[in-house]
Amino acid sequence: MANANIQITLHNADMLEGMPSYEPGSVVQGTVHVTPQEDIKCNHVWVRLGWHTEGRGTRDEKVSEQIDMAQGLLSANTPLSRSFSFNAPREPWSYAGHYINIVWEVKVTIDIPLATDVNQSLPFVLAPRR
Amino acid sequence: MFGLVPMIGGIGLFLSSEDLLGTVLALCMPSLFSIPFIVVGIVLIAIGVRPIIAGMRVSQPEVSISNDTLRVGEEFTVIYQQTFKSATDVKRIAYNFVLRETARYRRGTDTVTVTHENNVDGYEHGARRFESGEMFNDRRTFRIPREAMHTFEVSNNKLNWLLKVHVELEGWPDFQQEYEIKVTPEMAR
Repeated sequence: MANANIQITLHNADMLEGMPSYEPGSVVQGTVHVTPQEDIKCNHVWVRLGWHTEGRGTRDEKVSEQIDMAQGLLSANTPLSRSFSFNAPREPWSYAGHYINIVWEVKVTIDIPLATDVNQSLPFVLAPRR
Repeated sequence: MFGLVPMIGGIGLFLSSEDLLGTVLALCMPSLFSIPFIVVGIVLIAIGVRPIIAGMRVSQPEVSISNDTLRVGEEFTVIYQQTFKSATDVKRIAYNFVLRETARYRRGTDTVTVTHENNVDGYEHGARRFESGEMFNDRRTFRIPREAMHTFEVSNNKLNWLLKVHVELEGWPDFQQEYEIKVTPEMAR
């Protein structure tokens, strides 16, 4: 399995109970650093903003926006950086319930042909000020 | 009914005791076999008829909601009216405002749906007697809590706000109804 060190940093976020938090409709800004530990031939390196459900039910998910950060050969120990700016949708808000959780995240996926993708995500809260 | 006794007795005169036993068995066996089906049928008819009979006693309630599309933090009013056609003892009338989580998943070849309800608010009227022609009028105000979630519906996971009305009548089937309140992803000012 390919190996890469992926770091996601969110800017302009408020903190809510130790989690970065954004208001619905606001701009989610941040930076992604990818450092391959070996040469990786990939289709794409995606940076995605999206939500998914967790809990008892079958997972529902939606990608709200995505950026194609890189394609082709990622050379070993050659860092790759990219800043991003996504417009967070107005819904759904983050939710933690009995059977259902709604989790928003920025997720980086190294899409590798005929192999397991490399993923790293950073969850955040999307909720209005109460 | 009374004609059956002499008829069976008459048949018995023309038959020997063994023949009579065989005839009685032949007449009764299909009846014995069909008894469970008849009982089940009667029970099903009774279940089906009870709400109709209850409806003859109590009219369908009229429930009006001031606004069925709300923002988080907003309040709404429920007006409940019900006429009692004949004297009726009501055990309780309860309203519950709930957020229902519905999650669907596959288990083997089956699709399983589970629900969980968070009771957010409620009112309950205790037992009382309503006389024939008496009308029950009630008006209640509920609020979507400011920290609450909006309505959410996707393929396998749902969050729905419901006002549930439950009327328990003494000796009659309960009346239960749900009214959905759509909560939009906006905060009330």
